[in-house]
Amino acid sequence: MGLLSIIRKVKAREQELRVLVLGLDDAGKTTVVKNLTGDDVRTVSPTLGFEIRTLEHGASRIHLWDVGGQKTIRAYWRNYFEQTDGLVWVVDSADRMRLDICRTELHTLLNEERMASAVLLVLANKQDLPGALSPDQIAQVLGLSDTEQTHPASNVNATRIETLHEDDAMAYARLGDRSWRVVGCSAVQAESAHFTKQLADGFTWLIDEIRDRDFSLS
Amino acid sequence: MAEDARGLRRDEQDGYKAERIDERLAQAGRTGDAVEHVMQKCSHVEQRLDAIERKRVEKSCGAAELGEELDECVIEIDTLREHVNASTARLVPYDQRRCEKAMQQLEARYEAVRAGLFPRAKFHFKRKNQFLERLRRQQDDPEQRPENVEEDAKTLGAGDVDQSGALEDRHVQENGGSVSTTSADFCVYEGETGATLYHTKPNCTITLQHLERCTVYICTSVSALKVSNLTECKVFCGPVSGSAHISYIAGGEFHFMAHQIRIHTSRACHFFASSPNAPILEECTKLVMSRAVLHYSGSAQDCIAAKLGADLPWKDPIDFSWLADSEKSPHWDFRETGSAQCWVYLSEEQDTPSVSIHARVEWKE
Repeated sequence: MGLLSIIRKVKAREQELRVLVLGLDDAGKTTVVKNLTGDDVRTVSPTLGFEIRTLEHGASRIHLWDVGGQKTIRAYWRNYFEQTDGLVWVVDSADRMRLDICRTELHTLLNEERMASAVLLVLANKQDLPGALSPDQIAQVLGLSDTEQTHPASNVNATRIETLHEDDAMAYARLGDRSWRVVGCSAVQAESAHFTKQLADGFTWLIDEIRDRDFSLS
Repeated sequence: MAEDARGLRRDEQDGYKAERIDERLAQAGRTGDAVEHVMQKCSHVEQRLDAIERKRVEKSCGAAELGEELDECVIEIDTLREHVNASTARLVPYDQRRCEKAMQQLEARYEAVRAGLFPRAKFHFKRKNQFLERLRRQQDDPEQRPENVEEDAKTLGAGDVDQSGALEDRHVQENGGSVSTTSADFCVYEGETGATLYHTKPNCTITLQHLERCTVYICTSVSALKVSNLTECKVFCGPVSGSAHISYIAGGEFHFMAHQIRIHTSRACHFFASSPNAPILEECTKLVMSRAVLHYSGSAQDCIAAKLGADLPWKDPIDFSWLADSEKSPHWDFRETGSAQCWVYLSEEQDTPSVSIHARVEWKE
């Protein structure tokens, strides 16, 4: 193999991003992915195992790994962590009963060493449902943002968790250097320009952050 | 001569096949050994954890000493976890699941022992009250509301999206209060025993939790249905335009249609439920499943509004707690309803000073 072909391969790898789409079951992960790929969001069935879909974004090819969120198969999430550039965590904003589980699962993921460098995009999905928590509240409940911090609701950037209860500190992810953002959306409302834009903006931010991270690492 | 050559080739092929079988058997033996090794290790660590627990109860050792022993256990568990992860590729799915289950049990056991030794303080947001206060101020003063909340409300055409009540409701649930909370279109019915509950406002997100021997009539379309911790209840619910998530149900009868149905950790209940997608079951036993048969005045229009056909084809549930693909899960049974229909008739009666609703259920063939 010549040097040129090695360089070509490395360059090709740089153009390919691996994004993991995770969340509890019934959060709307597949609907989010289908919305992005322009598929029909009205016919979504629970994901058995996983599905991979590829998006073209500028010069990048983004491989979206949509993994089922059933309790039984959450243990297998770790099999998909390798070489993940970005994590999209989808939350059902109206499912208040399971927000605690949602928070625990998210922080378990973020504490994984293999996910240490992954950029985090939290999608506060199902904003169209009555009683859905706002992105700001989702950030609060997931233990991502400092309650005293003043920021626009869905445009928060990296912050340090310093005000957590000491005994719970271990249960929380090391968010110090991680880029993250919470975006409100309603993936099922594919015809809504507002929600579609929110979703697209969120993914654009994710890809830009991954690019910036790769640039600063190299 | 030719026959000899053919015979030779056949012998060679047989020999090759035998070698492959030997190889497979050897591999099976190796994976079997690997699983056995994991099981033995798990059992060993579990015994150590039991010993720690015993010492804690008997108070024969100090907390510091037990903490050190616990640290040793956690190192062993971590090593074992790495070993299991590394072996995943070599193990057949059944063995993978066995190992995974054993590891989960061990980790749960460790967590229980650790919690007994060093209990964790209950989580709370340190500045929750301040946060709620800020939200209330934003609610009172429109200028202080975050921009996106208003934008979302405009897009939805729903001026009454309740943002301030969100964490307050959560607070009520956290404290296990028995108050039924209803705010705007997000309705929570909880903590009742032997009651009859009615809901008539369309397109709400409905949460039913901690109900015992209650009958719930929701004779209208619903955005999303969340049900948890119900014992011996009857729920008659109109079409759900989103998903129905049901967990921790013991006994009772449920009538609804939804785009997606998920039933978790439930036993001995009868679901008259239809969906365009196969319902998902997890950790359920003794479920009886039938087609949706609920009718009420205006149910056909509600079905159309929820984008659900009035007569959805039956789809067998997918049981995540049942590994065999070729056999039907024993955790559920299908019961044919034929042409039976369950009609719910609601009537309003003028009881001064308010109007009260009465319901009558009638089965028709």
